[in-house]
Amino acid sequence: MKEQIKDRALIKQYIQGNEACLEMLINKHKNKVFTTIFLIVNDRYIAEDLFQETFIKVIKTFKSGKYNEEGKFLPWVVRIARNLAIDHFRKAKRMPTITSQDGEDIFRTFEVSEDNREQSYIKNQDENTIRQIINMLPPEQKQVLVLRHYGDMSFKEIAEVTNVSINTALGRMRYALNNMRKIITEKSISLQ
Amino acid sequence: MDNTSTLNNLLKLTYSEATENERLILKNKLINSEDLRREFKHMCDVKSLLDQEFYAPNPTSIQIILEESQKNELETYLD
Repeated sequence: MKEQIKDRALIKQYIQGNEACLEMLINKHKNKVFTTIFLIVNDRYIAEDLFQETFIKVIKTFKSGKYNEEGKFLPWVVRIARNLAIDHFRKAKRMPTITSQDGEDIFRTFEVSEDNREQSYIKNQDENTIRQIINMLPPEQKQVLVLRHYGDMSFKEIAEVTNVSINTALGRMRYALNNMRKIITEKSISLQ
Repeated sequence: MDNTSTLNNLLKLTYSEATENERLILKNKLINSEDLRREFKHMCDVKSLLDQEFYAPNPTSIQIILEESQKNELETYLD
């Protein structure tokens, strides 16, 4: 509750013209918002773009006077980020096929190089990163886990945005934690 | 093993979402069930592990957002 009041005060001051308050607000929540986006899209460059787009949308909402003060700030931002990520995937799916002279789909080539970049990024890190384990979860479990743990959305809010009952959201999260524990045990990762 | 509703409430407790009444009921169940205590520990352990995984955006992204905010401010004055 205290955190909510702090956010509200920062937003109020920002709307009144204090730009420094926006910086404080972003710095306070940037890692949670960015981690949520990154875990959804699995690409650091796309995540950076969506992170910027998300906060630019936040700014526009503040300046247009449409921000609803009743809700919590972070889950609201995460909801915007999630919608932008969904839009991104929709657009990517609609992307037309452009073939090169040798008949190869240019965007497919791009996709492959993205995959390689991602793989080399993973290889540079510990072989058993938490992110890799999260990515091994079924999509519906991963979604609840990311939105609850990193996006700070309540189970009720997650149930609303994903169109399921609260018990389904809770069940998916329990399975996600159980599956993570199983993978961790299999890979003998220390839980400390 | 404990029923689904108890496990769901245990998860809510792990994420500080359990109501006062749910907390009281769980407290008694936890005292009496070793299985439930083990399950609670597992949930807390994975939660702590997830807490170690955070990524930060590039400072350039923050800079772009702040510049956009100032740009909008100027546009407002121009209107």
